[in-house]
Amino acid sequence: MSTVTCSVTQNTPDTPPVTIGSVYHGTDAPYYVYDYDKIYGQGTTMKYIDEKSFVVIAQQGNVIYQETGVNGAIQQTGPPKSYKVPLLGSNAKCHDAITFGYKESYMVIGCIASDNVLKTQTLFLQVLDRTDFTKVSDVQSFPLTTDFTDFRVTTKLALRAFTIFDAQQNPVDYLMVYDQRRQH
Amino acid sequence: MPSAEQGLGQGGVKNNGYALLFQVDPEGKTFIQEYELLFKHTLDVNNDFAAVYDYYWWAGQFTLTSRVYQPDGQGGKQLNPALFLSPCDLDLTAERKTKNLADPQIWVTKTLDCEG
Repeated sequence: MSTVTCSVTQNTPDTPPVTIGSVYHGTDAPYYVYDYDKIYGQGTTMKYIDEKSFVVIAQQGNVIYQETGVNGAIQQTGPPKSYKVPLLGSNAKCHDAITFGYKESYMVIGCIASDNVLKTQTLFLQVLDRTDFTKVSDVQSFPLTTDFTDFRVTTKLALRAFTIFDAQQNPVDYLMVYDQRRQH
Repeated sequence: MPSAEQGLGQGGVKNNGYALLFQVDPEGKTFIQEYELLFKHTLDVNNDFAAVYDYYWWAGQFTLTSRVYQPDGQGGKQLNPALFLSPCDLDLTAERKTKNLADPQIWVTKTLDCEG
């Protein structure tokens, strides 16, 4: 264990840096071990959200939200914020979680249930508010059948969000769902 | 043995790159079914597959990119030259079509045929 200090310096081309403030001073650790797979089972994955938070994506629609300090230590007290997305299907699993444009605290979870016999899938989208990790709205499900779309998830569902401006320059948020396949 | 085209929509080719695009309602609570995006590449349907690779803003225009992959049989992959869609004009304000969930209709397929 060592001590790390992050400070803010200021200088001009002709003068050496002068410390004008301290951002962080405290203990450092080489890494933190969370052991979420031991708690929530094999296949549990983590998704980096931003510099202060990540999501643990576990089995059966369980997702856990964690906030950390700048040194990676768990920041919040008490039990982790968790939510169970109500999925249909024995092999349903959540794959990705992202924040999106409308509100900084809003997060969308993407999940897929596959019917290997009928060769169909169902896409689930769940919006949560990460301030308390409760649902903002009911989960939405979209059947991915041949009648509707040829899109299927073969490996891992991925989400992207972006904002465009319409002809009146009003922001319009979009969510893109795609199959990450094997490129990563 | 079903053909490569069976069950696929107009312009669909097995192993081509697909994505779904949803407009978010103004309050950010629900997703409105909007587009099925088809990245139309020329593929060897028995070997190649295409997938969304990245997205970015290009010249003030939202641009999606896809790439063609050739599995190497060892769990890895080889990349064909990237096929970028930057010449495409994906006008998200045009052809907007909402879906009535009580009366489902075929999703709108936006074919992005812009290899280059």
